[in-house]
Amino acid sequence: MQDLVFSFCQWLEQISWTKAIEDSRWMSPGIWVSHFFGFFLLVGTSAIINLRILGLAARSDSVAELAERLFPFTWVGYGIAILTGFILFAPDATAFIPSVLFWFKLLAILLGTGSTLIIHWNVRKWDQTPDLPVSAKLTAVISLVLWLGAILLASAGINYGY
Amino acid sequence: MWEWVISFCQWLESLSVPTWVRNTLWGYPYIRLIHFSGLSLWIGTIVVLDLRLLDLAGRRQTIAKVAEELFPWTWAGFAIAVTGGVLLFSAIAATYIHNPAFQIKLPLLLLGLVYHVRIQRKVRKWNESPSTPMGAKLAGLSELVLWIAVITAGVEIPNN
Repeated sequence: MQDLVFSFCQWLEQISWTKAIEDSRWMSPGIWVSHFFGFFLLVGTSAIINLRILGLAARSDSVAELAERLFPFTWVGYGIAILTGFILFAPDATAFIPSVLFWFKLLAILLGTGSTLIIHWNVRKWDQTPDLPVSAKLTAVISLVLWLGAILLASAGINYGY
Repeated sequence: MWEWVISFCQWLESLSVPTWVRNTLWGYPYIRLIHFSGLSLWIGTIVVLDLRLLDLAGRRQTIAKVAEELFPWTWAGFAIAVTGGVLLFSAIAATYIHNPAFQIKLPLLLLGLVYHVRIQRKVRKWNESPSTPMGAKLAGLSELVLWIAVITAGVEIPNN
């Protein structure tokens, strides 16, 4: 299994266009900026929806309407973050393999994606009652913790070279 | 003048919280988390508003409604981001102050702050037109460019 992962990462490192971007003095910062831009959008808008589900915010509109307005931004940000994340990862893929911090970050992203999807698919159903169900609030807390956890793990990774 | 700035930075570094940040394994990551969480709200909501000003998204709501709805989130985000930023800076202030990327980031940030306050004040006037005025679109675009510049300066800090 480990050999498979290692071989796959070696193959990723051969991809020429990601390598070219990493080596470019001006494109590389552009990818970093886009990565930050993407996850700011993702984490910010999903946090607003999650906090609203938890009742910690002004209730001018229904949660479902708020979610309907904000989720497009969440997913566009997600797409940008994932794409740029891949570009940042690929040229040095094998170097990331031994890093526990990095694997936990990927896990947080995977579970965060799942929890955000669950919220997206269920928010209209949840909004039928004046008080949102406990399952909704639980999912919202989990989603918040996972995305903030991903940021924390990435921040530790930046400091300690993954 | 510059010596005074350096002395102030050294004094900041000597404070207990910045010292803790420097000397523990998880100090920096947690402070960065605070900074990035705040920025997620601040930048995230600014992007939503600017795309509305550009008429590119969220057109089901008026400009004023979008701005009003996002207002508390934007400023909560700013407060959290600044808290994290001050803590990040204080930990190695005397080093940061010489960093050219940081020297560009700070004035750009202040400019961006003033610009955002101006936009929030103008929203009411822009809302009175049936269609989005050119001034609103220009402001939306300018603000996006400005904050992307601030993020770029931030990203370049470790490279200097």
